[in-house]
Amino acid sequence: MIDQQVEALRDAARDGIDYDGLCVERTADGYRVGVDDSVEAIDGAALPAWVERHRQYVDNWWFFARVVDDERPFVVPFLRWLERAETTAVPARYRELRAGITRSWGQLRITVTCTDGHRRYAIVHTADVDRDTESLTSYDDPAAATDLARFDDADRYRPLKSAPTLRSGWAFPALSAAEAVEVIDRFYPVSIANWYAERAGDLDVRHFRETAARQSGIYRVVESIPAAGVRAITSACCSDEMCLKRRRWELDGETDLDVPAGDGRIPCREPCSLYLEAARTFAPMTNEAPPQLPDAVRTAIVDLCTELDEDGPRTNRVGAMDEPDNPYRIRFLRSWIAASTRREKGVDADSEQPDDDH
Amino acid sequence: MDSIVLLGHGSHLNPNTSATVHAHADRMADQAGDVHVTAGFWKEEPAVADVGRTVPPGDCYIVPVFISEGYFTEQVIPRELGLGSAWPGSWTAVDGDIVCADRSDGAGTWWYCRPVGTHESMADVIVSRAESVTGREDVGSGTALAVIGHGTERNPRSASVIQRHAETIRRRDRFAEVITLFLDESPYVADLTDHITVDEVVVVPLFIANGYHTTEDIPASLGITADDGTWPVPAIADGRQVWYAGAVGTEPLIAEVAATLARTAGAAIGPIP
Ligand code: SF4
Repeated sequence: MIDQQVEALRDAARDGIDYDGLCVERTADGYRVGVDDSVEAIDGAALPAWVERHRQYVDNWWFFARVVDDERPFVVPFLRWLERAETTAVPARYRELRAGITRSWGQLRITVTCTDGHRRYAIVHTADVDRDTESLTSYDDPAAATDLARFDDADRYRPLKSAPTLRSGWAFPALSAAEAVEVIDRFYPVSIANWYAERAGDLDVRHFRETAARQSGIYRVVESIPAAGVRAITSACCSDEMCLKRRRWELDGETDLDVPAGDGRIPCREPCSLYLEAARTFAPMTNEAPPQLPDAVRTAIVDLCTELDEDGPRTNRVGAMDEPDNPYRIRFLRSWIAASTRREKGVDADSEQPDDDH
Repeated sequence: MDSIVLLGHGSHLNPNTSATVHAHADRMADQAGDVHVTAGFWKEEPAVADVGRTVPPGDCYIVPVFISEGYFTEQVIPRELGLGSAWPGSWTAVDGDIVCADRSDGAGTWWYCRPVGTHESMADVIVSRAESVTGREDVGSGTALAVIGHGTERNPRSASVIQRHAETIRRRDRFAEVITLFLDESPYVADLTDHITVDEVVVVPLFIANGYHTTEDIPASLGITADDGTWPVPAIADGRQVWYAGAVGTEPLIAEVAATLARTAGAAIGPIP
């Protein structure tokens, strides 16, 4: 491999290399080389020996610039993020990589190790980090991730891949970088691309009203949902208990929803399909203001919904929003009934009733 | 770098809908060499609106895994790709049925193919399905073939696709009879035995994935559903032997149909075994 690296280095030196502390530049009679600002001039024949002395720096460049061969702009930044390349200098990072550097992504724990210049990526469920790898079912084909993501531990279909219901008990113990990116993208589709776009400051956020306005067919009805309804649907669907993405969209460009966005690392750039399904199903209930109920009745209903919610889904069809025991429906009802409290307190800006109604 | 995206409907309730499309995409990816193959969905992730950002810059061949042209292929998908819902709108017709447009992410060109269900070779897929369900490579003589479609007044093209494939198979003189039946228009599925004269029939629904229609509605209409909700293969209905094949879209050959469409549009993908 060192011969290949020297060859690649010679090739790239024509344009100059400046990567994580490694500097290599072609000069008239050889190379200007250096790591971490200690620059020296060497002749061409001395390059292999110099590379040998600075293996980690060269290897680090070689891996990200040559081994990872992917035109998609998010791949290298993500792989670098996995091993904290932006904040840990090469020698310290390579030391840490021997034991492994671990990061979380949704319910995944990803550990990068590098021994003998070979990076390996291990992916397990966050719930399985302390389990013996032998007790987990091992996979090496990235396509298996799509099947693992399909059902939860109780074999319920998962229509939302970012729901915190990823099944456990499996491991991808030794993936290449390309395979790791594919596995992560199969568990959390588009998460890396949107994470990268957000980091680069150009995530194209679509707020609720924008997304609603482009719907057609059975989804057209979501356009007419009042702000209070959007708020209740959002707290039913998008909170961390239901979805690990962090909501970046609001009611519209000007109006925040005043609902927690979630703490996840993966940004949500617009209302998803499952959200729109909830919205269209609950839309008729939002056409009127939240019901004004006697305190005791309201509290009882809210408590009941909370208990049902905490018990977990009683149905196998979490995507069937129209069924009475649907978890999204229960959560929506709780938010909607509780909204009448907000109104009394004058929190609800949309309320057509004066705050001192009672 | 070229990429191919299979776009399916997806479902909030039925795991098979996207699983079928993923299976075809994975089958294609195995043969795709440098071509990046992925799947996207209307109701699941990756969403149609997002799938473009997961593929490399360059030519991207989009193959809708739908039975016919209509609302999804001409309104929803273009709109979600960011090209507006007017049809053909900003798409430019190239050779044959291929249309193309600049990617809305500015990263290359989208080549938009016809839906797989409309391709001529679907006739072969239907026949292959009849062979595999009966276990007879020469199935045909003395046997009727019934091709089943959704049929819908809103989109007459869905019925005409079924009729076109049935006519192709009919002209081959392989089956004793080739008929078409529909769920929501006449001739109805429930009247199967009124429309055939032979004692044996292979029933192939032209649906992309198994779901309510293919696993509950159609078997019940055919009168072949057993107490446990499954059906025997073959089953007996009205004194005829009925080989019910389930959704044709799960047939592995569909991957080759999708690859053919992408290849015709210019994608460098080899044959899918
Ligand atoms: S819309 Fe809500 S539920 Fe859907 S992905 Fe975004 S945060 Fe999650």
